[in-house]
This record gives sequence, structure tokens and C-alpha cells, in this order.
Amino acid sequence: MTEQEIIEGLKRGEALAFSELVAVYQDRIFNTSLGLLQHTQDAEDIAQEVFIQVYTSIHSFKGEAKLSTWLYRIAVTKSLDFIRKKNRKKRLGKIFSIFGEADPSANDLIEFNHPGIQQEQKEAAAYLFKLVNQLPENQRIAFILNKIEGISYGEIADILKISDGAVDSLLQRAKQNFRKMIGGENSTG
Amino acid sequence: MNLPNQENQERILNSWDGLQKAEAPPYFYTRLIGRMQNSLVTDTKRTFLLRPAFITTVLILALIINVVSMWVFKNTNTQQATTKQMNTPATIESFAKAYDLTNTAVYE
Repeated sequence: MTEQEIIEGLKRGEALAFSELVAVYQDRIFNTSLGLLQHTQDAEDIAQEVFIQVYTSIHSFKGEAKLSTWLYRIAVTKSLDFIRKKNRKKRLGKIFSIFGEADPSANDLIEFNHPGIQQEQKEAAAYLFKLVNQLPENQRIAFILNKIEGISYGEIADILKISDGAVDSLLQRAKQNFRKMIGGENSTG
Repeated sequence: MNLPNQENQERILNSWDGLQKAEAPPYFYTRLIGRMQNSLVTDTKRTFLLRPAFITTVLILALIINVVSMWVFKNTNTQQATTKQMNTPATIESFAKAYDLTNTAVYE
């Protein structure tokens, strides 16, 4: 099935088109969400939500961008919303802990190990995952889409609705920030 | 992890190179369809509550209950007033009024 056939099929409400869409994009969407959320179960939930949204709002898809670009955009937006909600919960948890009502989810700082990392890189990669969370949002998204999902500068530009040059600049600044963070921790250590 | 030194800065930055993409968990599609069916059932329930026919029926019922309550309340009040009047203890004034003893002209 071509991309256009999938879109047309989805607009007609065909189950076959939907199963084809999921078969083609499930790994990409899951991998992107996993990179951003660093939690397998949360990433699966968000990936499911992405497909549900595509199913319910396919009629609003005008075909100005590629289907994959639209899917990545939804995945990024949903993942960031989820992170914001989680952070809000953590802040509330901290406030409640002052009054003695500790929230067990507030301290879930578990080291994340991506399943696709080579064994010898595991420790360094987990450290980089920790650092990536400290980057500004746009730099984080650009870095994860490029490094984890292997998306080209052009498509990242389409997903974020910015220019190719801006993507390059985001990635350069992300690397500079990483160096500062690593250097900073090194000097304090 | 031990704190990194300047030499392994690049090693950390390049640690994601050659990363294998993660695959969606097994039965992803089955679970997705299950979730969609569940949310469809919930949505149907929610939609039922938002249907104009359902809302109108509830409003009419509420109106009927209000009117009946007002009518019952009004009736009870009238009845209570009559009973109260009947149960008022006789005073000298009411006795005099009932037997027309207020006219004193006869004795003058």
C-alpha cells in the first residue's frame, strides 16, 4: 500500500488501511517516544495515542506534509505534553511531601537504558540520556530525532516547522551545552 | 557512573552512534485496537448523556418534580392555616364577637 492509498483508506474508515499504517509506523513512533520519554510503558501509551489521534483526525490532514512528518509531529507534541504533566505532578508531589504526604512517583529517577544501545556504550549512553533531559526543549527534540530516530535535517525542519539552518544551529548548540555540562560536572568532581 | 573527564567527552557524545532503533512491543496492534474499542464504549456512554433527547427528558422531569412539590407545599400550607384557625383557643374577645356582646347601647 502506498502512503496515498493508506491516507485514502483511512479517510474511508478502512480497517486494512489502519493496520497497514500501524505496521509501517509503529516502530518509528515508539522509538521516537521512547527517546523523549525514556520509559517503555509510557512510550507505548503515547505511541497508541498517536495512532488513535491519526484515526480520529485523518480528515484534517491536508497532505501538505508527508504522513510520516505529521505522525512524528503528533508523537513529539504528545510526548512533550506528557513530560510537562509528569513534571507538574512531581512538583505537586514535592509540595505534598512538605505536609508529610509523600508521592512515590516523585522520586522515579531511574537510569534509562535504551534497548538499541551497544553493550560497551551502555554506561556512556545512559549518562547522555540523563544530560539530554537538561537541554532546552527544541534542542532536545532535534537531537533525539536526529540521533535516536536518524531523521534528516530536512525532515526535522518540517516536523518543527523551522528552516534546515535552524535545525543545524539547534544541534550545534545542543552539543555545546553537552560539553559545558560534562565539563561542569568534571570541574566540580 | 564515575564523573567523566575531558578525554571521554567525545566518547559520551558519540555513545548513541550505531544505536539500533527500538521496536514496538509485541502485540502492540492488538493492544491498540483493544484500547480504541474501550474508548469507543466510554465515548458512547458519554455521548448518550449529552444527547438532546436525554437532556430534555431530564429537564422536563426536574420541572415536573418542582411543580408537584410547589403544589403539594401550597396545599399543605392552606390546610395548616385552616386547622390553625380552627384550633385557636377561645378568648373573651372572640366569645364577645361571636355572641355580639360588643354593642353596649341597650344598657344606656
